[in-house]
Amino acid sequence: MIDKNDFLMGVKCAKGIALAFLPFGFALGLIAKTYNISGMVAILMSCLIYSGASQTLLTKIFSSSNFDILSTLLAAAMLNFRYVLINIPMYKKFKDSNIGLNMLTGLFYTDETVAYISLRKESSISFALGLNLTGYLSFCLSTLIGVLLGEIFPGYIVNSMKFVLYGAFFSLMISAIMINKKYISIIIITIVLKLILMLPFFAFMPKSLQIVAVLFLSSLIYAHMSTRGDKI
Amino acid sequence: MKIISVILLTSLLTIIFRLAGYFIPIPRNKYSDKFLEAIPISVLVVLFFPDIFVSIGYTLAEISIAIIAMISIVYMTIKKMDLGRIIIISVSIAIILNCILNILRR
Repeated sequence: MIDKNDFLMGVKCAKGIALAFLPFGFALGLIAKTYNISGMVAILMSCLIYSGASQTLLTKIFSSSNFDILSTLLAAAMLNFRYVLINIPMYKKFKDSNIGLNMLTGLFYTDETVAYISLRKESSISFALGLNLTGYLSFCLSTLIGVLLGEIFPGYIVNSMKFVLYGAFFSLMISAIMINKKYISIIIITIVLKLILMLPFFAFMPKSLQIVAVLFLSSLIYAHMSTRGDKI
Repeated sequence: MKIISVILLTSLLTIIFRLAGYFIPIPRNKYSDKFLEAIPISVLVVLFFPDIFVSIGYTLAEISIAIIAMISIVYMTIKKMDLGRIIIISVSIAIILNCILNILRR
């Protein structure tokens, strides 16, 4: 069951991630206002979908009154498909935990929390739940604030705040290199693959599919390189 | 009603994707361990590169602000500051520099 101390430790450690989510949720609330979408819709998306990239996409689609439900769903599903791949290491890490708790925690994993938990080498599901729930609440709350206060802030301040989420990814990446220098090879492989897929030749590929392809291929290449080295 | 239906269905699909990983059997060997070890690191890179450079804007000055904020992140991360403080300081640097840039533009 839930270990209170680990859970509270997760909540405490989520401070950075929660802060990183604030401007992103805020920006989503603001984007909704820009596209004349009801603030309620923006908040509902943050609470139910909890995936910034697909929410931005849906907001843009909703702004055109005559959209097709099926193609909209397909586009959002393609963007969110990466969660299948991203969550596997977490489920594997906490496989000995209670199934209900594991799945409850699984509902709130994001790219950032998965990376953070992996880097901290945490083995407590209660820690992961505390971290995930805090991130989720921060995201929902900041969308609400974005909807309410979005129009007050000048555009350039909101633009500066968009840096925060990328900054959090960047800091986590530097931490990863500090923990294990071997991770540099994963970073280089991923950057090279991403650059290749940015070439005009791959323009036909949707961005969401590119993300999944890069994730899968870079992990596959790293696994191949690592195990091949062992044999030698 | 159409919008609410899309939100509910997308939410349902996302929940399925988030939980699906639990039911996918992964063989226990070094190859799969290394594969799974690489995913979280790869995710970080995929999501920030190259967007971080143009996250503030596309002009040379705005890209420079992003690079300065990135350098501050590298320094603070090496100094082992906590993520919360790194985020607050780096975004403050970005906002202050962007404010100065806006004043200079007027």
